[in-house]
Amino acid sequence: MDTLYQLMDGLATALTPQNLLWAFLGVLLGTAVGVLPGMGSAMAVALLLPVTFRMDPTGAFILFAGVYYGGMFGGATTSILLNTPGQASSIATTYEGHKMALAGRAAQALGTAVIGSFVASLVGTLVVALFAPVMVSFALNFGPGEYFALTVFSFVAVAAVVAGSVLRGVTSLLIGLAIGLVGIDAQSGTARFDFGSATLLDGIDIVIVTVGLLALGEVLYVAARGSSAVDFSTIRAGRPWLNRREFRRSWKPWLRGTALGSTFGVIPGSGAEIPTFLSLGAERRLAARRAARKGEQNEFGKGAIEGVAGPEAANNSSAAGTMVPLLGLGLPTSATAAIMLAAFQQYGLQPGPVLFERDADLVWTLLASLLIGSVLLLVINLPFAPLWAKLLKLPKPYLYAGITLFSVLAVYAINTSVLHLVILAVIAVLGLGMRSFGLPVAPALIGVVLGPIAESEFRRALAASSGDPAILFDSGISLALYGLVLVAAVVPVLAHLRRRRAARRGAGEADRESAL
Amino acid sequence: MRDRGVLFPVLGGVCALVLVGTALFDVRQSAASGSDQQEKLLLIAPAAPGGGWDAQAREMQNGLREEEMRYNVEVRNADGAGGTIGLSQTVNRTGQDNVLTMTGLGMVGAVETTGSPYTMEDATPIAQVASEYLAVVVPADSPHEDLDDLSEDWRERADTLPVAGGSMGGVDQIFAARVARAMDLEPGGINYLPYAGGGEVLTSLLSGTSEVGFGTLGDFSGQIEDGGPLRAIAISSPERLEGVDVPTINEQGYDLEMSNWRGVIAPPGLSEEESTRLEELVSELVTTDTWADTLERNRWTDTHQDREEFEAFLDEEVTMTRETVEELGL
Amino acid sequence: MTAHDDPAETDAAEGPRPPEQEASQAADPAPEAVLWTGASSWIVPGFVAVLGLIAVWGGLTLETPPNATRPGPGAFPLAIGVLLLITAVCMAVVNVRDRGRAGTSGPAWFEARPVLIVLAGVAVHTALLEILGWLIAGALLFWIVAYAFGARAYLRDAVVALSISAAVQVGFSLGLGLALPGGFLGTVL
Repeated sequence: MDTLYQLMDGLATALTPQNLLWAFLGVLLGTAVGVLPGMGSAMAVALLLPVTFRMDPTGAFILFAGVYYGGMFGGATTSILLNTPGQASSIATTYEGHKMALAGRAAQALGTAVIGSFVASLVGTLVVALFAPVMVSFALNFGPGEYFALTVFSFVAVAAVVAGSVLRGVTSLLIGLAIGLVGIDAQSGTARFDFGSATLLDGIDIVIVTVGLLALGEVLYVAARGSSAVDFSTIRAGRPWLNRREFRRSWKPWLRGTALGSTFGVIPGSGAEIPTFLSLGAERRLAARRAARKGEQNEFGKGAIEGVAGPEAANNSSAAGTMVPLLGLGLPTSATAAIMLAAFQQYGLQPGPVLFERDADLVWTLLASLLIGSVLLLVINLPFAPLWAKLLKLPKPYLYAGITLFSVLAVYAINTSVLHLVILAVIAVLGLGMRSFGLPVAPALIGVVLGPIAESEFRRALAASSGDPAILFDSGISLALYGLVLVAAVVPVLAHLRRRRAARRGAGEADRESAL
Repeated sequence: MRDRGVLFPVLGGVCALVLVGTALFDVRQSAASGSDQQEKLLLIAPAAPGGGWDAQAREMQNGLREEEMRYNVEVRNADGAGGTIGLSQTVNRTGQDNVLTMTGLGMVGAVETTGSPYTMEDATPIAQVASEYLAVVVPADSPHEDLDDLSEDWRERADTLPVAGGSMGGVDQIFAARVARAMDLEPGGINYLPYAGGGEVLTSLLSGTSEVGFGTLGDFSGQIEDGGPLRAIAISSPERLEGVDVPTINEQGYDLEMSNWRGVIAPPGLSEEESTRLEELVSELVTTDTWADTLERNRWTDTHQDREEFEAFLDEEVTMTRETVEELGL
Repeated sequence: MTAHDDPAETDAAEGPRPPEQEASQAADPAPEAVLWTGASSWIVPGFVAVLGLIAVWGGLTLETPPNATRPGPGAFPLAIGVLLLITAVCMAVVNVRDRGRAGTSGPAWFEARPVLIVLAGVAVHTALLEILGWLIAGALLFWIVAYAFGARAYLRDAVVALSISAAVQVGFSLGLGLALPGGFLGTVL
């Protein structure tokens, strides 16, 4: 109760007209920057940092909170409308979100994303306010062994994203893992697969891979399909708002996504991607189960609203979750958090275990500003959802020319390097090839994101234990995660076998091929 | 779209004209080489936003603006390969007299470990601006009280004792190697776990994955205070630092002084006059109040050196780093 | 990693397709379910095999620093390379088994011309970006891609292209302070 009272106090300090203006500007700027591919919220916060040197701490925090949340949401807009995630944490939204847009339900997808982001930020912030100390000690149980178990779990969880042929899904995942190998190996400092190019030493930036495989790859694919391609402008605009049924289907995924996001967002180094993938995987499995048990229609693969609601809630609540290690340990877990840490220090705040006692006023004001940020996120973006959806009504040549232009811009802006554009073109051709031959693109992206994490945590664990593999299994967290992996991997196989036996008895040959 | 009479194309045309006009104005503005305070200056930060060189560049940008020395200052991030991407971008700007690139020990190390085609000699050294000192830290409940304890333990299990720091070939690893060398240990044989940044090193120590951490003092300053989860057992400065109650490495009988220094370099091919102008700009900046704030805020120590001193210092650092990197077998 | 099913049952993942999808994407041949036959069926296995060979070769020939902890930097490339080769073999087996079965011989709908025009646009943009500056190179790219997608109102397209690239320049460079190359315009103006 005491904490709630302090939070109210913080709200009272933070709620001035001027601060509301800052929050408004922050959300607007964050959303604008998040919409541009390749421009994450880290960039926006870095650009703002010098401006805040002249502001009072409360105003600065509110501005940052707005930018952070706005940026997280902005990425969702392009994922849904254009199949172009602005940052790695919006990749998971793309799968169902873009399919919803294709089915004329872009406004609903955006709507559920906005409300989900709002719910997640709100709940996430409250959780941080109430449980920060407990969460810090949980986070500290994550050594490299546990971390590796988490990545294995993520791989299995997102296997659900792979629709259709298992062989093709695995191939795509392996292609992604292979792309992730390029660059200096962090554990030994050895250059791998750089083919003598200094640009490749740092690996292929995830932005290049996402923009290349999804955005530009899609442009090439649509070009190749010529007249047989889908024409967005013929899609009905549909209703602008969520109806009651969609609302009913969304609220549980919002809460589940929030739970995943605020749990895993706290773990240093995990970033916002893992919870979004976990959420997508969970929603997909639950939908399949509902379909099997209650005979509800499983819309996954065709634009299921749950597949947007969950991941979007997950990425915003993990943004709130990163505040835990930041405030509790002085530990930035994302680039954005690193820059915010610099901002704290400029006000003489030293985040760390004693922060909550020493600078209680400022901490509660900060948490209150996060709340205000999330409310404004809703107020500003919800009315715009139907407007954004109209973007798809542009004539096809202009729409695709625009996507191409923004793809090129995003990649060039990473490092103002023309060589990155060459890599982009190569990856886009790969994306075209994969699409043309029916290889799903999604697993490749997952491989690129998770592969390097899995490798470095695995090798780091073995280095820390001087080669003793027991470190991989010697904690409750790891064992629990591997247990979940077993359940997740074995149950579908059993179900599949049972179905197949039933099918063979029944229909015979025809249905035999319905793979996982 | 086609049936709205004349109004639509006319309005569209006007909008287009206004946009293109503004854009042209912007192109001119950013290319402008005006005079005095309006003169353009490009600061290259060879790191991503949030990194150390990014902070240095943004602080310099802020200082130059606040002190009304230059208004048209642009920070450009050229992240990659330990800073050598930024170095090669600098070298490729031969003859441009309005570019300053952030540099430091990390870049010197990366040049050696990444096999970069360009070295520090290809650029024009301008000045050193500041330094951060490095600290050896352990978890608060660690049995290691000082460097002697650590040295003894480390000698016993040199290849198993997990120690953590920043990326391979970076400042932290060079520091760890030199500490080991000062203890007569084989630097190449230590079990060094590289992490992406100071924050991750901290978690690694707190979760018990590694037992000793090497890093910049600023990375740990919030944690090593009384009641914090970490303890610093040694610091690499020549004398004890004001307000930091940690003994130096020298004081404990090990011969090592080291700093994570930060400086600026310019592209090659500048005339004596052009280099002097840049040198004077920096030396004026570091005497201002805004810069004093910057130093305090970031816990940097003022170690300004002018061009001549910095050039000699840089040569020395390159030689020493090369030795360490060879010992590490990178 | 994902469970490895017997390739024999995964070749034709022709799940029962729901009717709405047919309606909304009538022309979609659902590439993920397409059978590969004929010569083009060997492109994917071939590509995967080549990728696998590169990874294996890289994994074996990496110069491991003497002090590197085990497993060294070569272990993961090697493992991924071997897995890639295995999947290539699986696909080859499926191909051989399916010989003679009905299926599309390569994507019949593939139109190479617009793809090549888009790629040419990107190549031109990449080559000329720092010479012409963003404003012109960006507009050029927009125009070429729009052309590839069938826009033929050349003048209007050019006006739109210039406006969009100018808007980006204004938003990024003027608004956010990020550098876009000015190119020769910077020296002329």
